[in-house]
Amino acid sequence: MLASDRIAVTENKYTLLTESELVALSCNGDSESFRLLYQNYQAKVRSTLYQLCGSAMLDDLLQEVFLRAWKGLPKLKQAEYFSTWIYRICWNVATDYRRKLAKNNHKVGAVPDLESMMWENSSYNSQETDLMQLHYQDLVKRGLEHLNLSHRVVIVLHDLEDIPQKKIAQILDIPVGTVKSRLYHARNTLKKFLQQQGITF
Amino acid sequence: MKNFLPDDDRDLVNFLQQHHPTPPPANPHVEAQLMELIERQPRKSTKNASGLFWFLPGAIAMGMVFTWNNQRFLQQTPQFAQDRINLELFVVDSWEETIEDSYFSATPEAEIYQLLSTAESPQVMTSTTFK
Repeated sequence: MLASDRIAVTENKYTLLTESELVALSCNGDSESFRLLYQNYQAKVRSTLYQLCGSAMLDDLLQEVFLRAWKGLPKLKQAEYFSTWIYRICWNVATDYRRKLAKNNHKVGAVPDLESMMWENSSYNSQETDLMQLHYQDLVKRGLEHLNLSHRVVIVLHDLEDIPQKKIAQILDIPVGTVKSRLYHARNTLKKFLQQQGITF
Repeated sequence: MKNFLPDDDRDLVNFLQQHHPTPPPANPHVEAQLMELIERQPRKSTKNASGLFWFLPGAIAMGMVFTWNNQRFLQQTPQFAQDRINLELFVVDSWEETIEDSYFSATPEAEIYQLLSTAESPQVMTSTTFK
């Protein structure tokens, strides 16, 4: 059998598997299954980490989340909760990082000015930079940073990542009522902030 | 989900989703580095660990049951000693039977055997008795 055939067979084997089966295989130490789980979740986890911690250590934090997941997988009793569990690890890594930075008196998730955002965008977007879009992005970023972390995480998970309130309650280990109330207050704070910046709803 | 929101909330959520800052592109080596780190940390088999996990409490529980049973056995008063009248009757009967046996079965040879502390062996005695 040719080497290329073998790869195709392996890929087919994994593409037929459900997420629960991938989790079960990963639990038994199959790193290829874990690679697929990483590929499925890394964008969501990365985006959440970015909204919570900024871009400074983003790739390191992402790696930390998945490394903790790999080490902790044998303790995960129900494979179907993998998604909730990985977000919980993400939340723990984010809070640990912010605590560590606060100890060292660093500003967490510092707001980049418009100029640096334009530079950042132009470095990976070949398209012409849209000043208005960048301005709004800057406002949303500053609005999110205006919130305290417990309110910010609810907005990020619910309004940006589209995760249902019940699952957010499981991720953060708080009652659903608390999720609702945080969401209400966080939205009001954001609205006020954006109104002060000249945006009305 | 957004359909159930009040108008201003829906507008806010739309605005956030349209304009939320997107993370910079990932370092293309992150996945490879992660997999390398994972390969360096092979997972211990959980089967042995779980076996040991259940063996220890099991052994402790077995030991406790065994000790408890032993204590119960040692503390148990023999049944015949609880009934005093039966015990007395038993002792009297045993005593009488012993006397009667020794009275009817006493032969000069047996008496000699019982009294002789230097009797060589019971087998010799038995063989002479049967002869």
